Amino acid sequence: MSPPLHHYLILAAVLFCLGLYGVLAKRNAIVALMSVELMLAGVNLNLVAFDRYLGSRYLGQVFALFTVSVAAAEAAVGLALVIALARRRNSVDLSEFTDLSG
Amino acid sequence: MGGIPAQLGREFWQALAWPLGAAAPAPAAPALLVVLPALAFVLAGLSLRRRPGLAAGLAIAVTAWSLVASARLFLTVRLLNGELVASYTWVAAGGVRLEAGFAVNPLTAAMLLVVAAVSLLVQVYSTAYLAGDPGYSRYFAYLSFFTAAMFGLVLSPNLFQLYVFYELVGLASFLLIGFWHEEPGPVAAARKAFVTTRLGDFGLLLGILLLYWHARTLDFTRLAWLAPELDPAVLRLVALLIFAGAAGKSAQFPLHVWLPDAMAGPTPVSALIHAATMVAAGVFLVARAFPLFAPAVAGRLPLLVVAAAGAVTSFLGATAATAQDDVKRVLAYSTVSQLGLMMLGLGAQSSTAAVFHLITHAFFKSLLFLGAGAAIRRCHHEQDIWRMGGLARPMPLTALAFAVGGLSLAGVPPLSGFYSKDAILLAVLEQARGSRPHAAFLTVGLAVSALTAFYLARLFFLIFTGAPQEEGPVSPGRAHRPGPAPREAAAAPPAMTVPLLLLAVPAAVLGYFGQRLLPVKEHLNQTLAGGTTALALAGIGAAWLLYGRRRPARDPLVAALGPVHRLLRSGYYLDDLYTRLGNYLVRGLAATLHRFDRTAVDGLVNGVAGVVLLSGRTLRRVQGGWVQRYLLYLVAAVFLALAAWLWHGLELYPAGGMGRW
Amino acid sequence: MVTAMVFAPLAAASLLLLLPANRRLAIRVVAALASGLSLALAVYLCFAYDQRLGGVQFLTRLRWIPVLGAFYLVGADGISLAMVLLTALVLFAGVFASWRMEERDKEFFVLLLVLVTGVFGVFVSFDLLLFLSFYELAVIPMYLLIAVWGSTRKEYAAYKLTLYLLAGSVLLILGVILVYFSTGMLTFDFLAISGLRFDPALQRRLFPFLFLGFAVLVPMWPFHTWSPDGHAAAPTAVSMLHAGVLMKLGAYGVIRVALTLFPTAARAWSPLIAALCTVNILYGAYVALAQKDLKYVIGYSSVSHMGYVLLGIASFTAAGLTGAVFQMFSHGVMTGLFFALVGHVYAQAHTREIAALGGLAKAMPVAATTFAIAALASLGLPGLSSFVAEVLVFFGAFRRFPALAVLGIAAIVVTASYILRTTQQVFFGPPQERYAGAKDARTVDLVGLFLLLGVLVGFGLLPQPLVGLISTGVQPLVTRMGGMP
Repeated sequence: MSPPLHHYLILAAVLFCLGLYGVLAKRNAIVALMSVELMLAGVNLNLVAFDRYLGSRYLGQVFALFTVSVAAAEAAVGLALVIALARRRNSVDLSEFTDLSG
Repeated sequence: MGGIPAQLGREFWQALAWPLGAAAPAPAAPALLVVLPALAFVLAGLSLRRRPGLAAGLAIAVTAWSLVASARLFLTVRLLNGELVASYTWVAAGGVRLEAGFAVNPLTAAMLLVVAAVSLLVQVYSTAYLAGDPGYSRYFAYLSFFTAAMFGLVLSPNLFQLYVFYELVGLASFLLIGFWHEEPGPVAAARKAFVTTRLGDFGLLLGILLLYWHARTLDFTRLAWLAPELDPAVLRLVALLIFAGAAGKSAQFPLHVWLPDAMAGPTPVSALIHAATMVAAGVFLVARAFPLFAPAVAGRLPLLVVAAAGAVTSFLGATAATAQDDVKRVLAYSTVSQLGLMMLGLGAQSSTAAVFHLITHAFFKSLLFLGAGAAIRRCHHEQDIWRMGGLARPMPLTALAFAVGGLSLAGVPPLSGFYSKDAILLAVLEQARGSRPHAAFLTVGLAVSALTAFYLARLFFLIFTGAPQEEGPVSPGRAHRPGPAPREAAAAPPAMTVPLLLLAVPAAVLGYFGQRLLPVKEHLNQTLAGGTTALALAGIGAAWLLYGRRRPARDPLVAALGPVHRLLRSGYYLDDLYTRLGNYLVRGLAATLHRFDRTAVDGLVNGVAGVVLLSGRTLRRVQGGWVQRYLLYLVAAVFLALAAWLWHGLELYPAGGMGRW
Repeated sequence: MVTAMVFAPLAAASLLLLLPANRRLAIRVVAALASGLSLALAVYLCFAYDQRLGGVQFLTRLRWIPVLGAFYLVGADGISLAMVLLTALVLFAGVFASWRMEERDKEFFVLLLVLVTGVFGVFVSFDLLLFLSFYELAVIPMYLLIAVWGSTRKEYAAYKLTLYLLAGSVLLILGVILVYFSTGMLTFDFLAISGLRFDPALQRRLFPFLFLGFAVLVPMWPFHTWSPDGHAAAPTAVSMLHAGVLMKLGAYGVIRVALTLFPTAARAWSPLIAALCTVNILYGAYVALAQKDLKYVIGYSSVSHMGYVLLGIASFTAAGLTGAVFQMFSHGVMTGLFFALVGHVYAQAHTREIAALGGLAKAMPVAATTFAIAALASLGLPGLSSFVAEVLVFFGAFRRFPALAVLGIAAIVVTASYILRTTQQVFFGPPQERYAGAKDARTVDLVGLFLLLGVLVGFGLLPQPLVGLISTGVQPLVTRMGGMP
């Protein structure tokens, strides 16, 4: 017997919150980016678990695969941006980038 | 093969050949009267800029053709004793149908003939007058344009088409007054002419609109037929509005102020447009729409207004003409005065007499202008009559022609002006029995006759007799205008004298023959004829005493009349009045509205924008530009929303709604 | 066919994005070809339209957002065809007028083409959501075009313009949503909606939203100040499109949406509209008289001339409405011409201050002549298309509102006064030394100028083809409104 649904959900929530904390609090852009991946992992886990337990014919799994591929693209673009930023400003510290200030 | 274009081509050639003797009537010939000069305008304006000779040749050839065609049309119409009419729909939208076409009847055919003849002679004259001007081709292009528009105006079968061409001749006048567009004077005069006449056109347009929605047609023939059945009150208003249009173009008081200024244009233009043809368009308009003015149809008021305006204008013009020093301004005020006389004729219910005077006036006034032009050109564009003099010796032919024109206009028998002017005065006399206003008008008419003879004789004596005057410095603005070659001391070139002599013929004899040719009903009244002749001779005599016997160094009238002379000289200060009125009312209002727009309307908008801006400044503190903090706001908001949903929202959905899985 | 015409500029814009920015000639050729293609298609549509049949033709219906009942529904009737033809003409001339654009030319042409796609789309949409989407597509590039490429107070003008237009669109979106829910059909399909007869009380409540939303764009007094500022700040081609076409979106919307859906309310409101647009006409003319900047004169003259459009609409007569649409067309062509020439003068003389200019006719005779003809069109001279338009408006307006019409017609005298004064001060008078080196309009400029000039004269002499086309679009509307012929 597999564990009940809420185990998966709690694990996913923990993953998501860890990621969220990273994104919000870490100053290093690369760490923030990795935290985004962590959040996505949490979401993916949710999707797969719901799919399994609600029996919606692999729709959730397809979505999860979709997310993974998008996440790959996002990571690529994100890292490219970080590299561009590092080259330009010699820093990856997010708190230094306040150009959006109105 | 070919179809419509081929047929159009065939009709074009037929119509083109028609005046030269082809027997078959060509229905398109009247249309060609407009189309050919228009083509000449386009060609001369676009492609012949560097071929001035060709441009002038083209314009003259086209006008010569028009003259022959007009003559043939005139004969045809007389033979038919009827009207050639064609009308096509030009624009139709909803309940509005505007037509275009042509109508040739004795009145319009006679006008065509006059326009073509004077145009031709003026164009020939201009080849010499403007020789060497850098704008030579442009000048002839404009002249062709004017001819086209004027033919279109005369041929109009309906009031709307007439309005269209009314505006177009106004444009031609604008372009030609401002022909020397690098000088500020002509440019301002051109604008004044256009805007002032447009004030009248505004009235005409209103009249057209009112008439259309009342009668549902603008066709002259149908209107004449319909007029008795229409509401007299409406027709009265229509007639007055139409007269407003006529007053603008024909320089009637109080819209006459543009005409003296219009003399800033080249002198041949003044002869053609501002003496002979276009300014008479207002008289023509009233004559054409005469059935709408009939007392039986529109009441007595409209014609009384026409007569009163004519009498006032005629008197103002004649008196002002006696006090001018610029030869062209004398003639301009004279034109104003004569146009007033024509209106007086119309007001006295005699459109025939008015048109008769219009036609003779076209010849002798253009003759006077062209003669004056020859003198002006010889004096290197000096127009002050006190700086001219003794010109009869070097230019005898010009002097002779000028004398014929002057005597004709002064109404000395048996020259043309005598017949036509008397026809008008006779009509007024007939009305004067039992009508007090008309008795006053008759007095004015007689006074004007004497004044006319006086100022023309003054002009002649000062320009052509006495000793030659020393030439002053040429005014710098006119320095670039073409003048005679230094060695050309003798008479004017033949291209100028021949038109003068040709014009002198109708100026002398047209009255006598015209009396038979045109359906002038009135016969000469012995007493009246004797009276006017005596007045004319008295006027000439007075001028001889003052200016002819011995040339005075300065105008004796200045001292004799004092402030009255200044009043006359300034044209009754009307110009100043209008300028001030214009400055205060129009410019002042414009400036006020502009400030209103910038402060009130925009102020409101900027105020609203200011509030937004201020609130924005306060709120910007929240945005430090730190992306992670934005994200924190976002997450916080999501959690708040989630909390709210958990608190309330679970019941928002009916059981099973969300929980289907 | 309609779709191809609408998206030709957009396709060209995407093609331009792929071209490197230094291939300057190629960029211009692509833009010219695309606008030429649109123009050819527009002309073809005008000829292909069956006037005897009337109604909306060339319909294409695709499902767009089925959930909402929104369709990709495009077609054309007489009114849209006239507007589409105008847009294509002005675009074509505008591309040539910006041929010598130096700064960021690639982006400029891309935005210009996107803008025109939006405008085309508005004129052919027969689905309200699609209509609004195209409308926004037209407004946004306008902001960028003015803010980046403009002159004199460009940021202010761009903000002002965009805010006004967006405020207008807020009203429009609200109005459209209200219409959407009040039909009970939950569809944006305009052909279906316009088949309904709305309850008069409902009409009276909904009409102000849609009318005001569009009237800001016309621009109706007192919501007009964005337009002269916008004109003055915008670069040449944008001024051309802005005054030539964008302002027509408002009047078109009034006719197409507000009038068609709510005839009863429109009728009730029409005296007020007529009064306001008479203010437009006179006020615009007077304020134009007091302007010192050449572009502001033209800008306020547009305010005045667009007043005639509204007057024609408010007249509720077939003649007046036809005249209004014709006036939209001819005013567009005329202002296009004006701004192209003002752009040329500015490029040569480096100033638009009327008092500083003068005697330019000697240095640039062709430009002077063309400007003079545009000026004559502006003052409503017969033989040029605006005369036909104005006369039809006058005929219509005089029938229904004689007193207001008299005031409106009186403006022709003021117009003559300011337009002649401006023309003469700029081009006539003694030639000035410092402008001796100014160049006349050359080959590239002439393409656009002569095209617009030809249209102005052509439809001025023989207006009936276009008048007939417009009438087919106007006639059903008049019948629906129970208006006078």
